[in-house]
Amino acid sequence: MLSVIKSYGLKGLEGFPVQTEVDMHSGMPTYDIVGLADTAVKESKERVRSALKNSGYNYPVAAVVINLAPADVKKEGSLYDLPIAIGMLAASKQIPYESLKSAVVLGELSLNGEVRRINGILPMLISARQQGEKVFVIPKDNADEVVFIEGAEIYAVDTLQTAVEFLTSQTELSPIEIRSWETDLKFNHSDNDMKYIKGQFAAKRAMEIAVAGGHNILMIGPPGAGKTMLARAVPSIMPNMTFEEALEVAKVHSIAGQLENGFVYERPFRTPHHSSTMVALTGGGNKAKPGEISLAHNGVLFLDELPEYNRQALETLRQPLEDGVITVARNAISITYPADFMLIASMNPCPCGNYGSATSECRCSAAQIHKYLTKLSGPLMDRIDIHVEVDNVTYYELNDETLAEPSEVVRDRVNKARQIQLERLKAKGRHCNSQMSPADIKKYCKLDKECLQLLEESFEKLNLSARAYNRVLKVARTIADLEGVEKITVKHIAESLQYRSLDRKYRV
Amino acid sequence: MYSTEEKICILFGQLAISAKKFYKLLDYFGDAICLSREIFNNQDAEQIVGEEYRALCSALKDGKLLEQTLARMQDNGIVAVTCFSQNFPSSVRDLEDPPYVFFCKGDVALLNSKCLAVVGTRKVSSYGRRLAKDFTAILSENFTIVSGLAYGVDSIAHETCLEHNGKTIAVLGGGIIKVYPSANQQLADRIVEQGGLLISEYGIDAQPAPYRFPHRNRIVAGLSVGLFVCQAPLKSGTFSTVECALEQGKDVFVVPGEVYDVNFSGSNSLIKSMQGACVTTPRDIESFYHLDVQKKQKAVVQLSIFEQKIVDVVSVGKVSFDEIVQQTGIQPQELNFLLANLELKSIIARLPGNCYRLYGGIE
Repeated sequence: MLSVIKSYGLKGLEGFPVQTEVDMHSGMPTYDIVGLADTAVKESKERVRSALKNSGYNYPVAAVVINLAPADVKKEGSLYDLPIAIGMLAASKQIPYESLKSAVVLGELSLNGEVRRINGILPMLISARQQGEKVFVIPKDNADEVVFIEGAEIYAVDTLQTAVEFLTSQTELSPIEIRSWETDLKFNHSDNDMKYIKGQFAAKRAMEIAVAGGHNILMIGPPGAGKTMLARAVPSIMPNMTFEEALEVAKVHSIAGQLENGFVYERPFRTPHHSSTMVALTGGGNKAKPGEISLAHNGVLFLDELPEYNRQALETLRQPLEDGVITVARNAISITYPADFMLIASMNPCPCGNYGSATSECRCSAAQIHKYLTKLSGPLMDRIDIHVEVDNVTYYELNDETLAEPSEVVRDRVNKARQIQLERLKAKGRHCNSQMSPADIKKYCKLDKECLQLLEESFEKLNLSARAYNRVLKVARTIADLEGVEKITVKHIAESLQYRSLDRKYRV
Repeated sequence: MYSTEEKICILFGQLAISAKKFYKLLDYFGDAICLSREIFNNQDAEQIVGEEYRALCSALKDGKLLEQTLARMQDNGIVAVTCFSQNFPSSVRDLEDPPYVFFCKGDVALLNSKCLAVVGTRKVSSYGRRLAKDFTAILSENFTIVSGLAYGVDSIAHETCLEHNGKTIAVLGGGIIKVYPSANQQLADRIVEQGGLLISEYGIDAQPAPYRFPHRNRIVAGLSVGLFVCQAPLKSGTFSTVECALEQGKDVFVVPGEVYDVNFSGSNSLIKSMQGACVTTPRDIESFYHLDVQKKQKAVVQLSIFEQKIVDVVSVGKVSFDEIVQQTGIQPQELNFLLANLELKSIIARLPGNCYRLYGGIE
């Protein structure tokens, strides 16, 4: 007899329906899976057999053929265990096929019949919901991921038996309670709050501006100056994620199997190590998995010790920094993942880290320093709007008991500035100043005579390179927005000029 | 264009035959024309020249290399000044180991102008950088500044000199077409554009060999009436220039540095051995040479209350951004603006590490 159970597959971020067809006929007991299944799917044989047996069902003595339709699309992973097992029960008439409830079934089986969590359930269910599916049976461990899918009737099961009993209407289950986003905002930045960062006034101010305008930022300072601590505090001052943003993030994390708390409530903060390969950063591998930059989507990508990264790996960041997406092409598939992140990078001023420091002596030769600084390519540096120098905190500052301004207060200011930018740039589909095109800059960064004069003077006097020009304007726009004023004044330009330290030619 | 003697010098220079060997040959044969005729199959000459003898003989015979070199010199705007030329600087002629050819690019007249060498370590500290800038700025009014186009003090000296429309000579330790370090190629081009001069005693595309740098230092010292040592560790290239200058009986001027600072160990030991060398302002050097000291009137700048507060804090020395915030109580967003303004007014200067100090200030 033939049975068909609905399931889903995943291609990039999009799900597609998969029909799990199970047919049995008399003959030598065999188990064949067709439909471009990968090894994990083929190995379901042993899991399904044991799970059926250990759940009190019989493994049919028959020639079993399983077809995963559509047959020309690759299927991956262990999520078809549960639909196959149920299909076999129906095909072998151990349960009535005709009266089975119509549902999309997903889940991996353990040998004792338990249902285990799978990766990528969120994007699959979102696609399925959009394509008109309503009822789903999923592993209980995945339940947290899908609580925001509106209009879905999702049943979480922990064993094969529960799933079977539910589908055959022997027991009633109550669907997962669907929550709405607003009621569920929870933030826990307690450890990485700005208020715990002593001193570092210049760096904190620069961070605020960077976050407010979505600017990428580079911190330059000796080891131990607190660059990492500053970077870690950044998510706490970023504006709250909207539901759409959170959903995008959760989708990517779901595919990568990195949804630890069930869903993503906070902006991601990714810190790939500097030994990371290009593929680790951009995504890829034979399954074209999302890389670190996609996992940092809508959040922060923190590259500590920027010049230590593989040059090739860094250069691949250029396109996503511009477009906010990365296209990973592998032999059979090409997938576009979102990668709209804020880049925070840090570096030492020289290989030993003490160049320019007031307290320690630099041991590097001029050539070494020069080489270190030129490891970063111009095009990459072109995409970093703000440079800020961070110096060691003094003992006096460390010992200061008073807490600095808490993140909440800073975040309020950031939110306000972002709102202004959104209103201004909405029409063009942009949401923050860093995304402004040269045409936008011309339109929204109008300068009066005084400002122009200041810029001209400073380019000569402060030894700024031409590359700095548009960046200075963008950052000045953000500074003005933080203040809530429409017109860019000399004051904003002057402050913005302070954030171009690597363009200054006072280095070796 | 070039006389036969000069052409011989150019050919020898291009073949990188050392000055010592050249003068020995000249002694042996009496004059350059004789040399070019009789050098072939001469065992004594072969012994003097060594392994380059064959190449030299064949180059002298067919004359191709010379033609090529002259053509390339013309293409690149290079001229040669040789020991047979009238404008060969006499100060260099009297050296113990005098060069016999200079490949030059730029204003050759500078070779006979009044020169002062500014030298120092490649690994310059912010204090050394400030010294180099402030001293060169004033010294360039009266002297052609000679240095070696290396990183650090050398580059700063050349750059500052150009900024103040002074004249400068860069003595290279390698070929003149591709300067070393290559990062300073732009600076070299600017020196030529702005009426300065690049010179090298090595062939126009000689490789920058390590022994050539200390060797050219004798020319840096030789061209100059005096040597200003900005920041020098003991046992450094800078110190070898100092030794050359002392051997040549040139005046040496040194600025004292912190006694714990290794980069000043050479400077300080010089001061210990010859106290007269110690200078603290560029005016000391000028008055040593009895030059007219014209003090420029500093424009009086009106400062706001906040600006005055910052200037008061910064006047102590190197002060970080955070310290200014703490000591003045000015909010960071305001302070950034004020600092930028003060910097533009040339009242303060920014240092690496987001630190600030007063601008210039030695008079």
